[in-house]
Amino acid sequence: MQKPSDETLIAFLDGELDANARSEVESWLEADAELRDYVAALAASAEALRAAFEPALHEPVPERLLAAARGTSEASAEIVDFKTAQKGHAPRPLMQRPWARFAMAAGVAGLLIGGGVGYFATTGYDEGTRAAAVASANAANWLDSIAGYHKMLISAGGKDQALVDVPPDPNDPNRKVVQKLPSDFKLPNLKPWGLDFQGARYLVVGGQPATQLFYTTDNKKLGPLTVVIGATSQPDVAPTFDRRGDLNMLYWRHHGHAYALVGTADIGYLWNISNDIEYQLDAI
Amino acid sequence: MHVGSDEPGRRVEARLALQEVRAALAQIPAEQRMALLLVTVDGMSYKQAAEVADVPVGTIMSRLARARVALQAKLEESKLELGVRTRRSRNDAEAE
Repeated sequence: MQKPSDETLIAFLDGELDANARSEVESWLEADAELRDYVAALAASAEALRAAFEPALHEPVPERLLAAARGTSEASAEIVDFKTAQKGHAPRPLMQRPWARFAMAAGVAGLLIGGGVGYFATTGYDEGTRAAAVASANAANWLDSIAGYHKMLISAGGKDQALVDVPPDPNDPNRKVVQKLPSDFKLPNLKPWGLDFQGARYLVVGGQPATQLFYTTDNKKLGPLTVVIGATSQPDVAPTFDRRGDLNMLYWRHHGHAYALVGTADIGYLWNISNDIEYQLDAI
Repeated sequence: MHVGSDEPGRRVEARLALQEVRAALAQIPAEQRMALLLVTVDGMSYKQAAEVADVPVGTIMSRLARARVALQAKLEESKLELGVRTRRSRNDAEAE
């Protein structure tokens, strides 16, 4: 019996092996202390990764309360519970995954942070919160505007180059005047997600300049997708989900910039794409 | 649920962990990072991740394996560096 490869060991930790393969790996682990330590270290690093994301997934943020309050007064706004929205690909329960047991055995349980708190608190806000919700109407308008622009691009067919200020190809012979993105603007590369950049549009939303980036893909589960990056004077806020009609939205603010993702993609996908954009733009 | 006075400490710890993990993730190629986020953070099965990434399950497996091994190595490196820095600052403090 050949020593299990990294792929097999990781598939074992992720609970992706069939019964035979699993029992082979278990035999190896029983007999080989070094391999056991190696697998425990792999489990620990995966747990560290998950733990690092836990606060963002579970931390109750006041903005979410405000958004929840908005949902009661605006028919178009709907707050979606992240875990419920994700049910299409619900994560497996923690202890069903072998890595969870290994992580515990490796003594990394101390890295587990928070947990068990609902993603959105949709009840229990008082009159004060409602008043604050009215004050946050600007944020709601910002999202309304973005959703509107996204719809407009979709109804134009997505590839209508007249609608974008900056074409994907700066040497496009069909364009007499070609604008470019500012030299210091970092365009998120969403190619690994199969999303192709189709152009950018300069906007003013909520009285502040913003750039709308439009991406399309053949994968109907993911696209088309709009990414908006704008200026804001409002305080930082963690990624927050919202909805406008059939559009899912995810927005966050970081160091004077507001970010939003808009599309019909499942909220779980938007969450993953936002993670990637956060790394690329250092906007976490 | 336990809500105690160690909450701020846990938040700081979480932020440090996030920074460390972020630094490690930034060094991993985009395709591998995507597989890692989908499966390890989001909890998708390999099949679901393969559908999202529009690649065969085998590709997800190999990308994930490379990403996990690289992540583990990078976190190990940063842990060692942190240990050295902590020892240095402790020695500096003792020398003063």
